[in-house]
Amino acid sequence: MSNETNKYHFDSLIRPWRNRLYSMAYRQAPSKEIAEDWTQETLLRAWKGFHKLDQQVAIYAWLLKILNHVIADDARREIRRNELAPMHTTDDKFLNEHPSASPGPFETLMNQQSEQHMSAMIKSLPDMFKDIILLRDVERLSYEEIGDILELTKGTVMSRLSRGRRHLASLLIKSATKDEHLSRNNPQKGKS
Amino acid sequence: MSDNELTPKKTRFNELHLQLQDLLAGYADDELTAQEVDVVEAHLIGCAACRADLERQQIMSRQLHQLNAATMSVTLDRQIDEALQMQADKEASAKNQISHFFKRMWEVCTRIGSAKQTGWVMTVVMLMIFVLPNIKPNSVSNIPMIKDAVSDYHRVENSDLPMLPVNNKMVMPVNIAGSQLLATWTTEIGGESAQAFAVKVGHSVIIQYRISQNVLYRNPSVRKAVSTTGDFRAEQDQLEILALPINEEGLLIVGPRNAMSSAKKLLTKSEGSGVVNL
Repeated sequence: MSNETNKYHFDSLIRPWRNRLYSMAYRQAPSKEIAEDWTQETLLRAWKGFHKLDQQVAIYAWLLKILNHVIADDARREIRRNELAPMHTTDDKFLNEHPSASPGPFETLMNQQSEQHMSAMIKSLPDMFKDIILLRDVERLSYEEIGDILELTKGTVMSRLSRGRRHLASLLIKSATKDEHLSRNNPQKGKS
Repeated sequence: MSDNELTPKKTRFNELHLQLQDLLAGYADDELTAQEVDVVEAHLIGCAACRADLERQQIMSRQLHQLNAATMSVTLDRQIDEALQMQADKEASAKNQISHFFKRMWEVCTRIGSAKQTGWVMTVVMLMIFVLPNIKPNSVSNIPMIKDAVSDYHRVENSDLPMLPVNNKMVMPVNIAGSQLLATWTTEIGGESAQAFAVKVGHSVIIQYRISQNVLYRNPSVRKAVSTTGDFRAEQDQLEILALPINEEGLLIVGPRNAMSSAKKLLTKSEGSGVVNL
């Protein structure tokens, strides 16, 4: 197959996923410029590996796997890949006693969060939680696909998702409570 | 017996409670087997904390799915198209150059040798010089206890540490000042059962493996190093491994290079352990 034909096939398969790929990079990158670099590098690596691509593979999951490697390889990142993540259990005092942690008030709190704030909270998560929450809760990939992208077993995907969601809930409640406290003390300042 | 004392029934409940928490996401997302669903549902009946956690997970998952995607700019789109085209052109050009190179090599080699075989031999030799990577022998990967410890470390890196029970009485073999015991489990090192201790040192995890002297001294390189310097040190897969005798046992310590160097400075004599000279 000539290079031109190959390139045509590559474009037709990959182009529909480009924007979503960029969105995933953007949700993880510290800046727009870095997200753009990651997206471009991912697509270049995808092109280089295209000839090895199995006909049966899900294209988007394949691209996300490459993106995961690109992010891991980026020397500009803080070394957070192996950062130990906090381990909240369901017995966590804060989550059991805070008024906003009960399901009803928690749903109200979630509805009040801006997209910008939610995205910022997700970005602040340790990588091991951020990756999984983005792939499952934002992108709605299956546990099997997530396991393949992140090279984890299904059990590990499940446990990290449980712990990650718990940690994110804790962060959101603390952040919302802090904002409430600040606006009560400074009634003239509007909530951002 | 007071209410606070742990009865066997309470201990079993606590252990199950810790284990099942990690299944709650799977339950929320319909990713559990029928058997797992039964076990989780039975637990949820009696556990308000887990029920509340499950509801929060379901609420959060629904909300996060509604987040809007970021959009790529037209400039970025164009930039990527140009970069891909450049890469494709570069590869096409390289392919032409390589086939031209080998064609010339073949012509030169057949002119040098009288027989066609000389040409083939020379081409294969040139291929080996340019194509084969520089292979260095790996001297520690053939030591079973090192191989097992590194493999176990990587296994733990890619999965989650088991939760430490509330009433844990396990003491790690060596104290590292400022460190925290995270988890302990049983594994196999050098063909024998070994107790592993995951310890947090700064932002990294170091694992200590308590092994028998039989396993420690099995390899002649290790025996020689221990008798000369008191310990055996190796590096593999960006990890550092330290093997040394302690009391009448052996100890393997595995961790990332940066964490190991600070850990070695902070190693102190542990209660009941032998002297550790580093």
